[in-house]
Amino acid sequence: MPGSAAPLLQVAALSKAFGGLLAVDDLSFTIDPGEVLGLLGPNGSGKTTTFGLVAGALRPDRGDILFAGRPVTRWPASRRAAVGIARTFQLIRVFLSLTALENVLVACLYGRGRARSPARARADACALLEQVGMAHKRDARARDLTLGERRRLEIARALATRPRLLLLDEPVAGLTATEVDAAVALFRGIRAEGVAIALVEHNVRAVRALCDRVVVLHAGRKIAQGTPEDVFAHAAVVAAYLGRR
Amino acid sequence: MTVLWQNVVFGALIGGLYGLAAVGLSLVFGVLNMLNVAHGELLMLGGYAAFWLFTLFGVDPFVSILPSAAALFVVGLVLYRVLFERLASAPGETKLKNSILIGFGVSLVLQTLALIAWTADERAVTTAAAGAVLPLGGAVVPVVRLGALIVAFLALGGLHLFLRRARFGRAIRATADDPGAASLVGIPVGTVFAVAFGLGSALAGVAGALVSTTDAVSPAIGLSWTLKALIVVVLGGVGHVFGTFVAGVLLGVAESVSGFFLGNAYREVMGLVLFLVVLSVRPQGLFARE
Amino acid sequence: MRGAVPLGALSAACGVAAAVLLPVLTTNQALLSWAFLVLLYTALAQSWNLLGGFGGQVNLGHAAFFGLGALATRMLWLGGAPVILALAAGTGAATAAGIVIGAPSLRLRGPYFAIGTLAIAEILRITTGNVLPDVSSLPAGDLARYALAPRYYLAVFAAVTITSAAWWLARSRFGHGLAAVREDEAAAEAIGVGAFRHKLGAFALSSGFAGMTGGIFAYYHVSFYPAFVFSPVWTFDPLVIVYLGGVGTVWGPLAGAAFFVVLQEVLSLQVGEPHLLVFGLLFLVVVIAAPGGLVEALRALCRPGARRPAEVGSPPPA
Repeated sequence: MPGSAAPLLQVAALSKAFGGLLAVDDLSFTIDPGEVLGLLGPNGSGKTTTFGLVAGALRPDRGDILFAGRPVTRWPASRRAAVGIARTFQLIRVFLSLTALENVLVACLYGRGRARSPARARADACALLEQVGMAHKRDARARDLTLGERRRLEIARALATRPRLLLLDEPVAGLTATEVDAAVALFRGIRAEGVAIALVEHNVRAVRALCDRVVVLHAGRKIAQGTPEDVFAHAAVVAAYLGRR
Repeated sequence: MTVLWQNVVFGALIGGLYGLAAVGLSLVFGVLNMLNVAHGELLMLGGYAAFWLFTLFGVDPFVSILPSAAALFVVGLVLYRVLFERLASAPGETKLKNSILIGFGVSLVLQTLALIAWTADERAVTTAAAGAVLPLGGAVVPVVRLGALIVAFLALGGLHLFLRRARFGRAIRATADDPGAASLVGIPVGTVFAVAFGLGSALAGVAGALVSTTDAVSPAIGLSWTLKALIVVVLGGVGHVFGTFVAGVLLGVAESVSGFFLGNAYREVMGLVLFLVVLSVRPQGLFARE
Repeated sequence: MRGAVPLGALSAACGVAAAVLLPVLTTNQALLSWAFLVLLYTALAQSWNLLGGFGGQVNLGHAAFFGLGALATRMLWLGGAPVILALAAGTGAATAAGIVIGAPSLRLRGPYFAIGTLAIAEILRITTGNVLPDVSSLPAGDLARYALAPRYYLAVFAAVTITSAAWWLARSRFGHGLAAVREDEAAAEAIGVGAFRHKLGAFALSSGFAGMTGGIFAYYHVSFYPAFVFSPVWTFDPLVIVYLGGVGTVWGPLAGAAFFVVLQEVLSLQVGEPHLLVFGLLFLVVVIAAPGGLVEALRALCRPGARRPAEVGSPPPA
């Protein structure tokens, strides 16, 4: 499937600086429909900034972003969500004083597949909570949930907008091995529904299990791309993570 | 022309007090990321301290700044420990918003307590030096106002030195920069927060004592001084001690000059309009480095 | 939720009926006056609650819109217009002002928004005091014809309308989006909620209703100084009422307003303004320890231990 259709996301010559710090430097990559792309690199290499640029939370200094052929570079985040770009955050951002159900409900009302009636939206929200295994915590306040539960809630909320591209920022950080496997299974299920995924992750096991391709960043620049096996063997990648000998 | 110059001089004199009033607020905002909107009420208490020390014991208000500062330092510490400390670990937006709410509640309580204790009557301190003036290029400079300006300037100088040179002062600056890093290098961040809050309150006390020499003190003056302080903090940029002082003087002069041209009734409006303009164009302040 | 909705609707209907019938059942002017004040404060507090509670944006310049509505209504009414038209115009003026002022000020971060709106209200107060320094009194004819009942009914109308707006906000799509923006603006944007649109909408609603309440006040008060309607008390009283009653809830403003007016009556016989002291202390207690206010406290009393169904308009974290 990957490679057989026009790319879903095209990022071209993207650059973003914060003050004197060049966080993303002339970055280009693509994501095909239904593909899982890993975005790797040491801390500070620009991965989260890239997500922010693609999702619309940040504006690039230079470069273009095309989504399903449309130039979305100047679009606000809410408009991009309406055409199918969804994201989770590195430091989980659920709506703390709303219940789990309400968290997902809002997204059902506003995303790409805007529910026509409140009853329909509620039903969709319940189904999504079911999908991520959170149905039993429907009426719990988000601030009373554990880390793993909040992660799942955030994913359900992102899915509620019926995305075509899901940006996951370190979704398995801080989870136990069992929880990681469950998360991987969940992401596989999402991908099976035709949603493309971009994944920022340090957990090598998860990357190997999920990613079709991987792009490696270092100091904001792309230094390698390819299949996980190829990339992990790449000398430059090893050097970037471990430091030059 | 001399009237205009007189206005400028008066504006600069009162502006020094605006600057002093603002620095305490700026310190708390910069170090704790909390906006204590009861700052004006603390200033009011300082004014009353000076008034009662003068009325009951004949203490000159310029001497009263010391006990006033000490008393308000303690008040600040107590307020921090009892009310504001619980906010210290909250995320930025929530912390700021709740500090505004708590500050609002404190201002209401302090204002009403003052009203019950001392009635709404306006109090003034008239010392022996009250009428004395110095000539300055065609304008007259009331000695008392000049004294207040000088003391304000000295207080700020002292604060500046403390923050630059003293070990604890540097600890305060480090905490303002990055509380996480500060605690990692062993700085007692909790103590720093409490002391900074106390210090900010003490500065309000000093300002209040100086205000009592030239203006009336009553329970109602809190809000307008808080607003003045807020305006100056925004004009000068948070955390810049002398920038805040200069911004205060600028505000004072702007008010006086606009009062001269537009009529006294619009003095305050000018300051508020200037504030809104700066807020929309350069919210980080006129003197911020960014 | 079994039975909860019909019971709630029934109580609300009874309450409205009682309010409407009160002038028929009693001619006790003191009681009517008291009821009028409760309804007026409910309306004003609820208007603040729309933006401050449901929207999470602390607006310290609410008095600006109360005042604009009051002045516009007063001037048109005393100029000969029928009071209903004057009131509508006052509401419209306040709404328009809300959009004009809201658009630039909502771009400011939290504390700057709060102080900026306060500055705007103060500018209006001082300017009005300079331009219209003379007291506004009712001419003899209107004074002779003065009756509390029409004012009272307008207050009922306002309280019911604005509370209905809050009720709608707690359940509608817009309200859900607004709650999301209140909780976390960036996350709300990420799921498709346009934050600025929602904040501005809430601001316009809030300011328009504040203007309506101000207009009713202008119709009610026999004489006042024009600058008075821009006084900060018209921001701070609703703020205290909302928090005491339960910020971000539909019924909080009513509970808070009743409590506020009663306490004010009880304590007003004392010297100084001790009711303000009590309110200030209670306000602090609520903000620090009991963010749900009276509504939450009453709920805990009535159904201890039971987990209540969630309201989107539930109190934001304190």
